[in-house]
Amino acid sequence: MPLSVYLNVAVGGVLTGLVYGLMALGLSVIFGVVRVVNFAHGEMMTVAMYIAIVTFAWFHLDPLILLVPIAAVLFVFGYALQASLINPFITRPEHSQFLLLVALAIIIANTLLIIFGPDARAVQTAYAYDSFQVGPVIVDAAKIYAGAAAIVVTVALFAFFRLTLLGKAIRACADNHTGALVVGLDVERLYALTFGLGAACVGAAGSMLVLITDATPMVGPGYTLLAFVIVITGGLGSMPGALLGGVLIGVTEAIAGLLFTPSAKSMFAFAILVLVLLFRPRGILGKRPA
Amino acid sequence: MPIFEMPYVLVGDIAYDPATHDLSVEVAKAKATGAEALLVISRLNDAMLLTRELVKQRWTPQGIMSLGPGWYEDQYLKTLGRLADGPISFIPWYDPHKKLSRMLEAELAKTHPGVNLNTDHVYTFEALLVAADAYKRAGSSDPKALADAIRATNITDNASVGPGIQFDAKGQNDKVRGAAVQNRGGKLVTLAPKQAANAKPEWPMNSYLGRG
Repeated sequence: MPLSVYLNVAVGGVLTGLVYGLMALGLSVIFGVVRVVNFAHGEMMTVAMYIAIVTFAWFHLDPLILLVPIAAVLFVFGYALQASLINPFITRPEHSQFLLLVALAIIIANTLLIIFGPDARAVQTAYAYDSFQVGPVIVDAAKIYAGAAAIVVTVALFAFFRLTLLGKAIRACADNHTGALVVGLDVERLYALTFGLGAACVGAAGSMLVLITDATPMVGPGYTLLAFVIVITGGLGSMPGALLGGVLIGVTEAIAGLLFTPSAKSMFAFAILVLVLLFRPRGILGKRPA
Repeated sequence: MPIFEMPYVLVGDIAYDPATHDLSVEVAKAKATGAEALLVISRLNDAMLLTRELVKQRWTPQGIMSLGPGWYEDQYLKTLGRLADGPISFIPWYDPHKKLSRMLEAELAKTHPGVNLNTDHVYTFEALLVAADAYKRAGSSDPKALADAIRATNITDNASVGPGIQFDAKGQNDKVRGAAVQNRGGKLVTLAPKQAANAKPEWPMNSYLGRG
């Protein structure tokens, strides 16, 4: 097979992986700070995809322009969810949190099913079928835009956590919950903010993913599982790890599909997960527990 | 099974998860084989994904031949517009020259404008036709009389491709024939069998580039 085919597939895998990485980043941020595993993560992204589809259908607004408003809507949803529903469960056993979020996921998926029906929906932007040719490499335009937007959002999130006082306060909560309480931080509010930020990440990822793939009400669990694979591979709680994990899984699936059979490409993503769990259980960029 | 000495070479066989959301690798792999035509078995969502990828990866094979649903469905034609033209589906179909087919097309156009008549509509209609014919011949609603009448069905004035409707010992309609239909301008034309054809095949299909 010519080298250009490998290059084409690898570039596509990197770009898709960046969007996957941003989606997983939301999960990682929430777990890293709040210590709650969001089992409704994929469903929240599906909500973002449908918001993008409906807004595009009504107002012809490009999902890339909608990225910020959709992230804002999901931020409010995430904030309200944490403040009203999840905060009381923070101190409860993990299986209670699991049941709560799985119930939420089922409610979201079925509500979407009632409203939109089971058929796949997509946005038909002006560039939906465009591609760029650089030498022998042909790259899907929508994937380039989505990948670039994923990098911008991730950098903005890094900057927020590193450079702002609020970001530092959230990191303090993550590092030492008791210490944060002692110095007078409003931990519950910071938790809600963090959940909102994680939801905003997933909102941004959803509005980009709709450029690459169709949405159906039942795609959520697949993306939740994918986000778990990515964050565990990259390192649970590590922001760069989530992005690295996304790219690694995206490229692995793409190259494995090319070299072996495409129907088994997910198997290779799980093989990486198993290897990471065996040889580096904290993930590639995960920190060793103190 | 008879072995046919066909003058074609299968250069590759690519299986994928039917629930997949991305077929870019599959299309890249197919393109790399240098195949002249694609023989596909898919459903609606993957048919649309495959078409999008063919356009993005700038590859128009000489022909796309489908042995399943997806490529001729109204949703495919509506969603992809001009990009939907070209694929040929080998499926059970209706004979557009038959009187009943023309009546069904006219009725559908009146009650559901923009909806193409397809096998689902025709088979539903023919199922009712078989039931009504059996009831008429049985002369009662007695289950045994009705079942006997259905077994003796011999309808020649029908809509689907083939000489009519008759059931063999296993209850199969062995008179029904397959057909080849091609997407053209949001409509479906019948290419084969000869007696049902209302158009010649468009081969090779028009390039995706420039269709807009």
